[in-house]
Amino acid sequence: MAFAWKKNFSYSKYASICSQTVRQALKPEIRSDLKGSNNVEFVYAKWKNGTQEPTQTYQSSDAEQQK
Amino acid sequence: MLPLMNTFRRVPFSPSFFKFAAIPRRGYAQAAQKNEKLILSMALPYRTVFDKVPVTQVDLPTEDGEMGVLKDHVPMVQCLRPGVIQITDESNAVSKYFVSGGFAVQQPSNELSVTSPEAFKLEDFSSSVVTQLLEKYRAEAASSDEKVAAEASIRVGVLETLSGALK
Repeated sequence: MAFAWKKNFSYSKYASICSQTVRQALKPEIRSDLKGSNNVEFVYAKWKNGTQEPTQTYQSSDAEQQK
Repeated sequence: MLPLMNTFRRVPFSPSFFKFAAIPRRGYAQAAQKNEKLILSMALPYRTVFDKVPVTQVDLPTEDGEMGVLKDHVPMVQCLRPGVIQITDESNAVSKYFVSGGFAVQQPSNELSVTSPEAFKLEDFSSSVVTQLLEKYRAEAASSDEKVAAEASIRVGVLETLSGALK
């Protein structure tokens, strides 16, 4: 069925699941060449009532598997 | 003659009311020139695979089904499924890339633009790793947690397509 992922996921999430899976299936030597080119890592802080809450880090799950 | 008649309009050249400057009159955009051959550009976020290369045929795995694009294809925008893109270039050499999805846009100017998060040649994949991953994610797909199961079933779908392509 076309666009079956629409039921459960946003396109963005679906695309990242598919690309992570493709990267996992590569030969190890090709994989090491990529060196985390698609990793996403950032620090963010939420604001509440005009004050900043402590900063938190986000790291895409790919990062751990690429070590 | 007719298109040129309105090319320029006269505008007072300030501060004088009697001197005029000719500035180009704004018109509608011209249609792009149509290329003789199908021109393929295929890009990933971090790498360009093809940059305006003339090709004969491109086979795409779209959400609407497998489709083959030749020159003068009707303009379209297609969402791609994870699958194999097969490119037949002018010397009839065939190259295959497994893509994780993305989009394919055919312009009226015969330019086909394919964009994808990941694309690799079939030789870059390892069948044994694919089999291992399939086992792992098939088990997860049977999980009672809906989110885990849904994500795992997408991965299983990608891996099954990949293992079919690798045979």
